[in-house]
Amino acid sequence: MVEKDVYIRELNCEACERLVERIAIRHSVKLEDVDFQQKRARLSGETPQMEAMAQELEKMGYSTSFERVPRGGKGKMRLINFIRGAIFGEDNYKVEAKGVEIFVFSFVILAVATISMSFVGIITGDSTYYAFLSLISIAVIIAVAWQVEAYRDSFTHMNGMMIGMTIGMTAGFLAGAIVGATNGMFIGTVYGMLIGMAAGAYLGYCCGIMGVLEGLMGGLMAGTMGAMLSVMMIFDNLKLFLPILLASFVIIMFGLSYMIHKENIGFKAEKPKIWGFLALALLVHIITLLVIAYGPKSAAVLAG
Amino acid sequence: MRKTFKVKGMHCNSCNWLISENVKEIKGVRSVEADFTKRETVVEFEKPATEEEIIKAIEKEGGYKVENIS
Repeated sequence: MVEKDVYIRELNCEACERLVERIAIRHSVKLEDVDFQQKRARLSGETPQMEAMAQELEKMGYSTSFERVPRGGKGKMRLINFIRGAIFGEDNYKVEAKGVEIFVFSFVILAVATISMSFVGIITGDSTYYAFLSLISIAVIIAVAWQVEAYRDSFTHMNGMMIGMTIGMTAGFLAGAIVGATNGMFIGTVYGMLIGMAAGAYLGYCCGIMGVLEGLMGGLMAGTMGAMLSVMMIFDNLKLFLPILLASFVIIMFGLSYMIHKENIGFKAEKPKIWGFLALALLVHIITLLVIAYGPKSAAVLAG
Repeated sequence: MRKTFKVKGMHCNSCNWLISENVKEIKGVRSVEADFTKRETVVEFEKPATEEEIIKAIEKEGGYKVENIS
């Protein structure tokens, strides 16, 4: 007879505890106690029975692990390991490495699309600069979106709210700011809101209505603010400011990616199709460039 | 017979499993589809299973209350 801890990603409430207890009894294992904060169930019984129980929970759609899921604490080395693991595709960082791969692929594809549209005269002059900012924004967001999709079934509601809000705000703010700089307040706001709300709601959907609402609200606020910021700075070094803004959002997206990784250490990940994400990135980028090129422009933008 | 039970208190995947397992134990129940996102459980059954038995099974675990049957 041994005592062991099993970590269950979806261990959130009393119903989960009752279900785990029921499965434990079925395998002649005793559930000693649970800790919802740590997602931990303490079991006593024989090891093979405990493993069989964990397998049954896995079949039911729960993510289990007998290794402790590290959270918080001093994370300097973990951060360095995360960066190295994601770049070199080390074990435990396969999902993040795939995210890096998607960033590189989408960057190349979007760069080709931008150069092609510039070559045929659709994107000209200052618009080329803003098209470049758009392509970096989309490549970064799509890479994190893939990571969210890979862990879609493992997130808690709190994760979902953070994901919905962060992605909604990032996508909405950047789209609003870029289109606001080229077309003005109205088009920038509408476009920023649409992109932000769609991205935030879709990715926040991993965790139910709370994540969706956070995504919608984040996208709505950021779309408006992004366009507003560009129009207000149009005569005051806007071109210099936008890369600073983009760099700030890249840091935030990196932080989100790190959080997603930490929250899912030891749990299974799906493998969403890469081509769907690349196609989506290309579609959004082309629509953005067409809006920049052919969308109506406000007097402030024309004067700026 | 196919009936939809609106259940107050369903909020996660574990609720789906608990309710499904309890209802499946009733003799005469052919299939159970519990969906916490809709707060409902659809049960296909025949005699000797009765609505009363199914309600009792759903409410067996504390915290669930059948509000409506259609």
